[in-house]
Amino acid sequence: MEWQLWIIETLRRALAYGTPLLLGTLGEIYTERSGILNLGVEGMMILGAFTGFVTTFVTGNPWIGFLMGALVGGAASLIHAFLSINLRVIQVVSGLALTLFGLGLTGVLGRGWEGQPLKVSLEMFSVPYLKEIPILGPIVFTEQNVLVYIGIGFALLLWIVLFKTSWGITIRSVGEDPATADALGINIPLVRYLCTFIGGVLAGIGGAYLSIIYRPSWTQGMTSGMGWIVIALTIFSLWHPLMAIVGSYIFGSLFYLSFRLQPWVAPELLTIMPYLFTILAPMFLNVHRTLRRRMGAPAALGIPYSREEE
Amino acid sequence: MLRLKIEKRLTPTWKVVFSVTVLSIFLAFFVIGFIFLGYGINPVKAYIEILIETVGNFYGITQILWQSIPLLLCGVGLLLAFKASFWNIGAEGQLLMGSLGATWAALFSGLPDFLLIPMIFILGFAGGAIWGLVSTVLKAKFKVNEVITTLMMNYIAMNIILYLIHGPWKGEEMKGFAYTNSFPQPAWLPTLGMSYIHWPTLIMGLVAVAVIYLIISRTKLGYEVKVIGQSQKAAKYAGISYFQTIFWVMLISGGCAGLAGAGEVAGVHHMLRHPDQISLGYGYTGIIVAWLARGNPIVTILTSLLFGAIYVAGDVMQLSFGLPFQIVNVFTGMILFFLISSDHLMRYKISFRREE
Amino acid sequence: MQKRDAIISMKGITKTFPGGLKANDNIDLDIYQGEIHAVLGENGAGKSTLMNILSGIYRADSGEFFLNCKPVQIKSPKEAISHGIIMVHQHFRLIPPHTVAENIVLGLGTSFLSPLKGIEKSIKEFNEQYNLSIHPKTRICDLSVGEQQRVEIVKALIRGASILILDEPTSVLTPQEAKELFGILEKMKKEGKAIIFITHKLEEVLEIADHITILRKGKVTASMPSDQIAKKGSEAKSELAMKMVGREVILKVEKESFSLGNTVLEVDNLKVLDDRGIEAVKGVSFSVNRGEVFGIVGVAGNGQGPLVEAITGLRPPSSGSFTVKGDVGYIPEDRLSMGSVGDLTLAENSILTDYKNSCFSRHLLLNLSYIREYAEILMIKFSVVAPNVNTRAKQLSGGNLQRLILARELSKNTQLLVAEQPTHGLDVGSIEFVWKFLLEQRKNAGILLISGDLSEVLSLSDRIGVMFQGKVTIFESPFSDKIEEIGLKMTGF
Repeated sequence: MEWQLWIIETLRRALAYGTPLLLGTLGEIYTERSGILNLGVEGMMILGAFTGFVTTFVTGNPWIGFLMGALVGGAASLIHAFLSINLRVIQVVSGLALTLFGLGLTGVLGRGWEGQPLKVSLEMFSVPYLKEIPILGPIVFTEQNVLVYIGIGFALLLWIVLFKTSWGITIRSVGEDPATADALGINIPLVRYLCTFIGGVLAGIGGAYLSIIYRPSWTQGMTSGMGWIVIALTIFSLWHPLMAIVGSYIFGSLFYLSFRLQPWVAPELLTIMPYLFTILAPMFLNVHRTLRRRMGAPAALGIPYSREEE
Repeated sequence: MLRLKIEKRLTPTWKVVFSVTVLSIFLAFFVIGFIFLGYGINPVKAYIEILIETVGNFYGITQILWQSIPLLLCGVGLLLAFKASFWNIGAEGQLLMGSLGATWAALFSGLPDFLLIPMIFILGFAGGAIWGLVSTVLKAKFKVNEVITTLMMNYIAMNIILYLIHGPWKGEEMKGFAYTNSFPQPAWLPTLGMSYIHWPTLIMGLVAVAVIYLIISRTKLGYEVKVIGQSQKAAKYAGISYFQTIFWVMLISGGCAGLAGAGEVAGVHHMLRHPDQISLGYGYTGIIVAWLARGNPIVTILTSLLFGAIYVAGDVMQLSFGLPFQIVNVFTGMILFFLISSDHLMRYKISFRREE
Repeated sequence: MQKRDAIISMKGITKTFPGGLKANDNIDLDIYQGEIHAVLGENGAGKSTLMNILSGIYRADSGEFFLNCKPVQIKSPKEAISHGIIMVHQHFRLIPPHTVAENIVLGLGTSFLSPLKGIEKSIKEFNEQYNLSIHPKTRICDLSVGEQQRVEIVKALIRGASILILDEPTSVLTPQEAKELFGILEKMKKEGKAIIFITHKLEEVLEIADHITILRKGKVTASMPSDQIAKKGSEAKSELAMKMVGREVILKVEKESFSLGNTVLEVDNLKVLDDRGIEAVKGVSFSVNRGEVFGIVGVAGNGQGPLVEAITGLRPPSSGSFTVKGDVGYIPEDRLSMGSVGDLTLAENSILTDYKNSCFSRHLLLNLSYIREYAEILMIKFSVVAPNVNTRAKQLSGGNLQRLILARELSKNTQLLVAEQPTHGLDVGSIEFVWKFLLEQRKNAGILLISGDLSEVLSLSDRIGVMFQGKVTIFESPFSDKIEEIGLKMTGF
């Protein structure tokens, strides 16, 4: 019976560990669905983590922390949006610059804050009645923080918006074929700005989660590559918000296992697991050619759009 | 009426490129000035102090040269990869794996003394090259995006080194610290006079510049690289094998970063230690060194010196003003922002025309 | 016909592109309700530019619009749509992975939560009204070209189009589909819509248009009601054709005949799959001998691309075989990103397909001075106009670039030359140059010409293969009495 409890515990913790990934991935899905490739997730997350931590530390209210993290992440994404949409730069390089900038800036500003624990955080709680449900109860509804549910809520909401509403049609169309959407009177820059901003906001919240809930403290470079895993997860989930839930929790469980298996395997080698999986997952996906073709990347991803030059 | 006239031009002249590049750098300095202000430091005074401490005295100049060694090796290798439109973001990991190879050669190969230094460079090159080739195979054979794989390989390399220095390679003489043992004296790279400049690596860097310059301008491989970098369709039409070309490109690109890593452990630290100490982000800064050189390997000598100077300036800021060293990343990120923005603007010729 | 006011009139439209090309030069055009107005012109005459301006995609440098005699501005597609001006592009503006309904509601401002509600009903109404059979839930990528066009038309009608612009609507259709389209257009005309029909096919215009305007080099060269032409008969037609092309429609090419040499290409029951894994070439057999031009003609997308890729070794065939004797030269359709590399110099481009040849490179090194000399000779021989061999390929005009590619592909020891749309988008001078060289080259090689331009294939070829839906039907010369038959075969009859 012990191994069953062990699996349940792994899955339960996977939700907590996977939530920042889920938030970031949902944001990047929106950004990429509109045709903008933002590789600056790492930078936006670390900015969110830092502002989230500082705000919570100063105000004593984690919710204001999350709000500020979201705003700063969103503001950072606007730099990328401006460069990609207005100046039509190479988006790969702009995203990298954003990452370097975010890591650098938080490193500079955050030095005085290192090592100070956060005294307030969000409480863990169990949902009454629901936690009694066999299997699902102990995994989903026992000892979780509220952000886990907010993450799932976002996933559902963003799925509905993307696939069931007129905005969703507009966003997907802009990412597939901006010229067509433009000819029908869609404001391409506006859609792309908004989607990139959503990406930044969610990355910011994901980052703030790290410094407010995950490890309630500030460490320089504490995102440790999560932003890059988000990029990979976006591909892995085939730009679909519901698939992002699955992918994020798989990675969440890998993160948890890398702590849990430490008595038997060196922690550094376990830390490699999610990174290794990030490389291998798209490899398997790409081998499956029909899958890749039918649900591939948005056709206009990373390609700047302008009206007069075709 | 005066009207702003914006025309497109196909290729900006080198004068425009040069002045815009210089302007971007100055703009970055200007913006960073506000961070100084935020810390209550007068930016003008700070910049004067930095200038004196870096290019203003002999010691500073040797420091710049010393810091620019790994940047030159990473940068010129990346330039070759970028020329083929292969987005190698993994010079950092390739550098670390080079330092790993070099460490093995120095501590565990058991070679006679006179073979140690050659072996350090050979294994350093091999470590970086192998690390780079993993992403090459994944891209060419499985179509996995190289930006993600090269980046993930950085984190994997970092953790492998952490594992080695905490576990199997942890040195007995280093009580409690996560280092390997010190390299034996014959494995230390010689330095120039009293400076830190480990000249064998510097020479490697200059040789790499020359070799890559020759490859790009005079060889079949260089020709193939240029065609692939411009249009994969044309490359296919010309009968160029993508995998073969990228294989050689990444062998050299990764190898150069690996040499940088070998130089750092054998020339500076004389041991394998925490990855953050072996590389101060040289692999990432190398991207900008390459980008700034705009496809010309010779120019990487200048750009790596520039960033060497910025690193030394980072040291100065840390020592004189108590600013964290991370400010260097803010600089590089900012310069990159301005540079790519100006890239776009450079393609336009802006002039004022009088109009009736 | 009584005197009426135009529903939309354009006055003095002028548009110059950044490259200096004056695509529209002071154009006036009046469009009336309940009328099909054909705008005729060659490739590059400025028809598409004019319509892109009218539908708000481009902005004119100068000129005015009057909607029902009131001056209006058209600065964006949105504004054009609000005036009821909607364009159906030659390359459909549909998003392949999305459904018909999703494509139709895009930008329509339907309800946020149930955007597709009501659309299905409207589609059904249009289906009944115009005899269509459009299913709202099908994905665009699963529809035929004709069906996609009808989706485009419904898309325009739902947006309340009163002025419908059709850009080369028949170029992608089979004759039967074209007939159905004309039926739909007649119905729309009866309902009082104005239709602008852009084309370069004179015959079909006489069948359907009420008014004809001819553009040439960005200017209006003629504008008249079509019944005037019909009355005057064939003389008027050839006069119109002259106004359109400015020269004889069918070019008389001086063509000496060569005796046939050995077979250089033998294709036997070749089958090739396209990118989607669908069989695009369905068992094709033919041969090309030295001394002849074998022309393959067909509407784009009938398997020509995969066939060429197979013969040039870029795509493995799925079954069947082909044998090539000697070296193959290949002039790809895509000059800019396949046939040349824009950022490389002319010298570098001149060896693109032959750089492994021992006279250009020995061991690892390139023989730079020889390559430069070689490029200089090529440029003189083929009169490529450029400052020097270090000029970048992207700075060359289309005609000059094509000459360079031609020079490169002919100067290898070529036994078989595959020329894919070799004159597409070129100016008249360059076209004649290319034609002359292809014919001359028959001395040394067999030429496989692939083109969508029937008059080009008729003028150059010694034998013709018509490609339709992956199959090839071969016609022997003389062609003068078979032109009609060839034309029909191209459209599937």
